Amino acid sequence: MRQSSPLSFPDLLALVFAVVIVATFVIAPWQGNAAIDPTFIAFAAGIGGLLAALWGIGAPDDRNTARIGQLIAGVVGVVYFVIYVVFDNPAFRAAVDIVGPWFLLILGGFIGLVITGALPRPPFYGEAPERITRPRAFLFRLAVLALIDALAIQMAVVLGANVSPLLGIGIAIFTLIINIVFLDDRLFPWRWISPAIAGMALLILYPMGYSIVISLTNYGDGHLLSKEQVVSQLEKQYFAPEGAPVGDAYLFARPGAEGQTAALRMFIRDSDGREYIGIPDDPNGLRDIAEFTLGDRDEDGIPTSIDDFQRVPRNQFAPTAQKLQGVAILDAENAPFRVTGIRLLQGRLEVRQSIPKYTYDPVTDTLKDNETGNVYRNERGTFTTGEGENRRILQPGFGVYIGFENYTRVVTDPNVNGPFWRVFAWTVVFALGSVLFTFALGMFLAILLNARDLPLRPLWRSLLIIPYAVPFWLSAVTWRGMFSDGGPINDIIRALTGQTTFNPFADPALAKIIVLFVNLYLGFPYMMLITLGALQAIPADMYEAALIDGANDRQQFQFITLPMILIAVGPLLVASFAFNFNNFTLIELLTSGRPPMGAGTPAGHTDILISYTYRLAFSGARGVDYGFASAVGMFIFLIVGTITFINFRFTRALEEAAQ
Amino acid sequence: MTSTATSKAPRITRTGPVVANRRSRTIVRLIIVVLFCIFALYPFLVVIATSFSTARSLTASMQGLIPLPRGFSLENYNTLFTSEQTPIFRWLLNSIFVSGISTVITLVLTTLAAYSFSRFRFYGRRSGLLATLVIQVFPSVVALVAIYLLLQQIGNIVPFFGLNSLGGVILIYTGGALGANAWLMKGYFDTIPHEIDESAMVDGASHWTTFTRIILPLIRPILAVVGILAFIGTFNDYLIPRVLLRDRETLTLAVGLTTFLDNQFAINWGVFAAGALIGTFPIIIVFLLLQTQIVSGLASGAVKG
Repeated sequence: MRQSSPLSFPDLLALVFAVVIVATFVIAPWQGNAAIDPTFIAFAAGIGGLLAALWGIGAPDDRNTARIGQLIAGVVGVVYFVIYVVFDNPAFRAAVDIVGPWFLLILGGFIGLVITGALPRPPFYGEAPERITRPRAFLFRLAVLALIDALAIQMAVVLGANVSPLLGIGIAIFTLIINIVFLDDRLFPWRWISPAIAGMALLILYPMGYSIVISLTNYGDGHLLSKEQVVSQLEKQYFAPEGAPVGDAYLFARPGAEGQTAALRMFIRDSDGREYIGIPDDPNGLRDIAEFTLGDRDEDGIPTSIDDFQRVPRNQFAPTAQKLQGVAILDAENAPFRVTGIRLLQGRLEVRQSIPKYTYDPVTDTLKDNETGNVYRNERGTFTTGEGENRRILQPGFGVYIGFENYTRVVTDPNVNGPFWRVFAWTVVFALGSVLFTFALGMFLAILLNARDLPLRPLWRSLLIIPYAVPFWLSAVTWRGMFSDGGPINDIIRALTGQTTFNPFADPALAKIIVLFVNLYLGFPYMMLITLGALQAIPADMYEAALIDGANDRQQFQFITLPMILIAVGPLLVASFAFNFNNFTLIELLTSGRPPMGAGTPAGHTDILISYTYRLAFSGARGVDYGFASAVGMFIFLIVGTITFINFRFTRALEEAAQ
Repeated sequence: MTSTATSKAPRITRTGPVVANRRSRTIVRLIIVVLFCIFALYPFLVVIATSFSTARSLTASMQGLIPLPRGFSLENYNTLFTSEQTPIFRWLLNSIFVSGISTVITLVLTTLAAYSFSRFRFYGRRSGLLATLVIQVFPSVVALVAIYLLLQQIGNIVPFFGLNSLGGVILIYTGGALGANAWLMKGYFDTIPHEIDESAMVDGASHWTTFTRIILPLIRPILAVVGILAFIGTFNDYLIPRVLLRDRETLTLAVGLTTFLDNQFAINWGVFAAGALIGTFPIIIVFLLLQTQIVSGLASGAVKG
């Protein structure tokens, strides 16, 4: 029997394309590292394609792996190119400029990889198909997967470099998992839930982790940057030491190219009369005038040209000079001359030799002020010097880890201790009270509505649902208006008690009562609805049996209705407690936490934990403190999590999961 | 002896003056119900009245306590539509955009996940289900700070999803998609017999084909319920847009109305009321029209089994 050749044509073709890609990368005339950076991904894809092609040839009975590899590598390369062309990345453009037509070869190679990856392979003798995978569906899946891979790699690299390496690694790991799930047939069911898990991971798990991390720092006002950012910012400050030379500089540019700072020359004359030629942004920018051909001098002694550079005309001096503000003329031996001023009327710049004001010593973690000699130490994220009255700090500060201090502050800091626990107590009371009252009223109305002989029942039900249909915020704001000056309830109370002003929101107790009342208004329809459902599920035989035993109304209610309802809606009651525990909208819109508790804390008497957290982090009036706000958030999570978990324990939720 | 035959009757009346007793009971019940209906409707009627009156404060805009507008005029609506401060249609559009896309994404993700949980038996199924229950315990609000900072950083790279963008808000809502809704859907999927799947597969359909051609049409009711609940939930949401959105043009309805018409307590009630009505009337109508579905959705969560 003739065996089909183990070398399939598509695999050979893929090999050729991959070799072309990799060879081009190696041979092409790259100049300097900057051009390589953005193309690293494409290069890596090329290597990947080469490996896949070799695999296809070396292990011909493993058809799919080779195809997958080739297809994915090819798409990654193509998408990478497309992204950079679409976003017009300058570094990429520079790379293309340098390497020129070789890029076409690389791009062509990637396209070739895509095509060969998609080609069907001839059957290998003796191969038994394990699973009926329709080729078109499989190909579609591969293509989408490759696209996702390309985008994910891009995002991982960019986000990892600019935001946080952890995020980049997270995306990479996650993409790997997606690949495995969609390619390994044993993990078939996971394919269905992976998108949802993806959303969950990025937007709940990652913030959760990030919250924990932040809560261990003092990130907030005065500590908003990272140490590297602060140090680099401070190191950009300069000063001119005593006796440093100052001078005037005049601008020269090639005719027609006045706008480009890279092609400027400066004629510098310092206070001692020495003359230099300065080239901005050149490591050896301070040159001797003998190196250049100077044109005729005018009456001030300033040449009219330097080589083919002409003096920048008056009308173009201003915009060009603006770009040079702060720019340095570097010199290998001496401190650089910096542009410190612009004299527009006279058409010249002022330059001055200056050195950085601060030097950072990583070993001792201190910052030395070169001008005054002070040494600033790193004290919890602020550079501080001196003690007591002489204490001075540098702005900005940066965030540092302070361990569990945010958590212990709750107990130790007097400004926080009192308010926090009061807010916590009120949160519990509020949530419990809300559930209790809304359930009571809801159940009452449900029993009323359940009576068969009540006319127009659907009408009443629709009307009573209105508070549930109207958006939360609208009802909350409306009730706020009703209770404040100019509102009807306010007028009534004033008329009844004879007071001239009545501001319930200024009194802690009254404000709390109002909050509970409004939440009752907002919550009873939901309770009514679920209780109605539960009521209708109670079998009538139970009542018949009870009546036969001689039970009256109250006993029927107590021993049949109530327990049956509670069993049915119990978990929902607990869920409602958890919901109200975090009911930010109501508190914020109704009272904004008022009345305030005092000057030491942003908390108010009607604040619940979540609105307290919001105020800490976002109100900004007293300075934001992200670290502490995150710690409070963690605390909330612990409480609500425990409650919900206990809830699950006592319901059939766990057993149902096993079905 | 007087028991009614159907299983719906909750009570057996006693012997005695039956008719009079029952009637007076019903009347009392009716009165109570009507009173509560008035209570339920009152603020809403106040808002309607205020929107049509020219007065600035709530009391002045009504006839005493009765929510009838004093000084009927459409001036508030006029101001609302013409003022630059209140681009109400822009807000409405933003809200619908955000809610619509979130709902669609939520439905897709939840349906896929629920189908998998219901139909397949795989390693990690139980923990997956438990995870969905546990994760919903950690609402986005608690990770507010982290989400704010996360979006700030992502926004530097991909502006479409950054702070102060609708894309960011949609992203946050998508994260919370897998939660109670998945639970509800899975329960509903469980009620569709497996035989249907099996007969489809015998005919050569793949899982995906079975899902899209056969199962999906069967679960339209629950899709509708979950979709409606998700839409209304995101439409009315206040916290997330409040924290994440800044520019006046990108605000959603809830935040726009409450923030830009709020001046401590001196709210310009008339314009606010008009705006609130315009924005929320569609939702309320939708809610009332579809209340049977919504109630059945809620109730099925209440009555297990």
